[in-house]
Amino acid sequence: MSSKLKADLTLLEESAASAPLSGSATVGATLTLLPGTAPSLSGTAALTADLDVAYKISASIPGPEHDISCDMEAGADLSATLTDAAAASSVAIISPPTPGSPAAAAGTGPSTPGQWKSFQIKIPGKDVLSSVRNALETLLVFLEIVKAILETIKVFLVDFGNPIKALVEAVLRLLNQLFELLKRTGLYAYYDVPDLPADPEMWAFQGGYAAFVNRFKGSVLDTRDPNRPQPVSGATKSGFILFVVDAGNSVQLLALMKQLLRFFGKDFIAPQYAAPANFKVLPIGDKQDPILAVAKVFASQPKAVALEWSATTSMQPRDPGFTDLVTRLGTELYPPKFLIERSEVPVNQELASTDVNTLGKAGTVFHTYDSDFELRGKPGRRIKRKVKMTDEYGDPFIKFQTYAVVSLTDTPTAFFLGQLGKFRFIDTNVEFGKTYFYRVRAFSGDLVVDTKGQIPFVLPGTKPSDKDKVSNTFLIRWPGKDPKFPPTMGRASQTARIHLTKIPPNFDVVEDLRRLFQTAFSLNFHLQPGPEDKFDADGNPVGATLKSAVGKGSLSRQASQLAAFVGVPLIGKGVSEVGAPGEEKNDYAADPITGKLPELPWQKGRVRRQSARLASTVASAFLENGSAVIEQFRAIMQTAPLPKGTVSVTGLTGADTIEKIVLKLTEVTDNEAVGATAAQAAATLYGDVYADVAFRKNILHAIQFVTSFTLGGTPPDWVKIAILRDVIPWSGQFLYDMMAKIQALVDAFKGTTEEIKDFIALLVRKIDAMERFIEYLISMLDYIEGLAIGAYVLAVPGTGGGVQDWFNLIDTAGGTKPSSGPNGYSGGVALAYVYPNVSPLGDAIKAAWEAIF
Amino acid sequence: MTGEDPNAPKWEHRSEFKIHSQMRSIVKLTIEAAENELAATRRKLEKLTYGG
Repeated sequence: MSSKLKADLTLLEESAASAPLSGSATVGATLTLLPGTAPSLSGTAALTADLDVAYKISASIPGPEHDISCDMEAGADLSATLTDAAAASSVAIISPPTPGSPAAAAGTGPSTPGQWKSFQIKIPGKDVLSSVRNALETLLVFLEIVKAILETIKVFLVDFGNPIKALVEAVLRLLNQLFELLKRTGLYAYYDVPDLPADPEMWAFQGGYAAFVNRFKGSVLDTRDPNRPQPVSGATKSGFILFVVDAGNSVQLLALMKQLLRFFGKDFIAPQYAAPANFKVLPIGDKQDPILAVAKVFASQPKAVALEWSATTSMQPRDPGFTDLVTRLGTELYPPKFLIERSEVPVNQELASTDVNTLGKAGTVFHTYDSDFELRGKPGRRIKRKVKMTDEYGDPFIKFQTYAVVSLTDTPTAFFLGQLGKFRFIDTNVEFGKTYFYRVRAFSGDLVVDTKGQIPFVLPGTKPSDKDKVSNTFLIRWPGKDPKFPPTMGRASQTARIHLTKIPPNFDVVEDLRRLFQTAFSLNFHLQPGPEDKFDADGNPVGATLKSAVGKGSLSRQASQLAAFVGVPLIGKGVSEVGAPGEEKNDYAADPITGKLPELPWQKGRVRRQSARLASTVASAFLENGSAVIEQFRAIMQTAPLPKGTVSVTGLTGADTIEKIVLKLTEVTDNEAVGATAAQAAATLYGDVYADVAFRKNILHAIQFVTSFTLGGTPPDWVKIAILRDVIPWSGQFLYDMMAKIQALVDAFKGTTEEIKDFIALLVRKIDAMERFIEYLISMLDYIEGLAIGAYVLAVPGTGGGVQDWFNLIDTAGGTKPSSGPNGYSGGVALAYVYPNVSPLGDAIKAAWEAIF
Repeated sequence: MTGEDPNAPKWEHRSEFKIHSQMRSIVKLTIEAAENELAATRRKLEKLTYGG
């Protein structure tokens, strides 16, 4: 059998002094020469045919029984010499010995047979398939020839057209032919992987390697499985190869299985945890209930915020050929923990990847890396490219300032599971006047979060080779306590934002707003002023302008259903402002038919509703914008003396703030309840203030603050104009004429320069295409590297025996067996072929086997 | 050295298969050839753009 040699070779003596050594590399051989006698070579090196001296070589391999020494003639091939020497001394040198463990006791646990099925080997990259050409037996030889030709060709500059393309296609055709053959004929595959819905605890995979063997044997003997291989002693040629992954616990097993299965084209790319749904952040009051109404927020000062979200159930459809393990594991077996991500600065700004682990920084992470391409004209200097970093799902990676882990077991008081799958987390570490951004995601495993709420993210390097092998992007990794088993992170929810505003004490914002609007509507601020109304610089009416015109028009955009409503005073000084002279009513009496006193404007349902609506809108806007605005409003409403002059109206004596006059005016809400006298007094007060300029000006002052802040009460908009065209028309014409002449000039030259430009463009396109092609080839290389596996392999290339012979071969095989004991977990993949004795395909498959594996 | 039949099947712990190295070397050679061609095309482009 072939052996991969790994040996330290010692030069014992040489027959000629200081002869130079040269040659090419042989896989696995390391040469160390005695110092002082010949130049020492590092890395892997071997001696080839252009030697002109003979050497005596000693090979020393770990283990005293493995020393070999041989003489090498001048011109001999060292690797061949060593191979012969090794064969002669029966040395099998494959890999460093691993700590052995006593063979596990024979089978514990049930042996669930795996499933035999046909399989496909995935060729990395795209399929370049076409018809079959060569015989299988020449595959290896052909590959060597192809390599030799390619080596020669690379030295010459040839047009990229035909030779290489044809060669590569030929190789790929051969490989494809091999695989097609394997697909169509007696090849079997057996996947011994956990089936979690049936066996969530993975009992079937405990018992370690011995249990795996049991299951394998059981599967071959299982008469219910029509797909199983059935070798017959003396009548068939068969072979099999076992790939076993071995682990100390079930999580490790899954990680190793994932690696192995990736080689067979079965990759886990679906997210394991979907994003939490219905993510909300709400202020909460003393009772820890979320405060959902604006009015309540102002009534009780919130001191903390609650984050609420629902978990989503896994919606992965069952893969028909294969169970998608890790999804099911994630949601059914291990309950997720949640990671809360929090930031006090906006997270939509850019953050350089070098700042990711800096305390206090947050943002969308960008990574600057050296691309494979150099600046044109500046060899050696690489073009730097900046790219958004992504997480394993391809979502842009956003770093938050602090992180907190919540789980049922760790923080039971802060985290309780709602009955309908609703989760809640209360953050009491919040301050007034700040805006907070939150996000949440599910995860399982051991994520590293330090006491300051920081996560030490693992960043990739800046070379293109540092890209992740599978996704071909730069990935940030979440660190696990054990680097071999990173945590499984779910998708993040939407980012929610909350701002905590400090509410001034003794100031009921919503109520003040409501009463202010009621007053303003009662004074007809929503009606348009007359076209002749004039006011002086202080807002006082001049000339024939009525006193009751003050303030009109300031709420006309907010009138809505009140557009046709008119407040009319029935008694008091305001009566003189309405109606024709001589027709003053000056009378407030109960309606003779209903017996009810007339409703005052702020008592009417429409007015109250519209005022309440507006108050809520404005209050929400206040909350969004922070306590500074609320403070301004408070100052306007609660500062004495009145900003626009004292109001001398009976009934408002001593009312020296806008808040007081507003509350007093709108105090009586139910005439019947307070009685006729009080109702009349209220109506009189209304009539008096109706015509009081100072009262109106004060109310207007407050209304103007509110509307300018939120309700669009701004001066006329600036209108965009195109200066040249609209203001100076003839300049536009000049410009058009000039442009037409320039275009004609360009057209004249177009003919000749166009051709040259086209050719240059062609070359540029060719270069771009080739650059992309090289990038693609490099990604293929990375993909190949990424298919590295860590599995135990037992290859039985060919036997004429039957089932019992298979079992005997497995039981008696030596070497480095999987070492898991009764408490370990094992799983794996087996490939087998069975052919009638006389079929040459059996030999062909054996040869193909050995070429691939 | 252990007295076993050297041709008997034995367990090995592997991290890659032959197909890995075969594919790897083919891809590497193709990359080299493509890069050389790319360099030639770039030189052509420089000559056309800047003359000389």
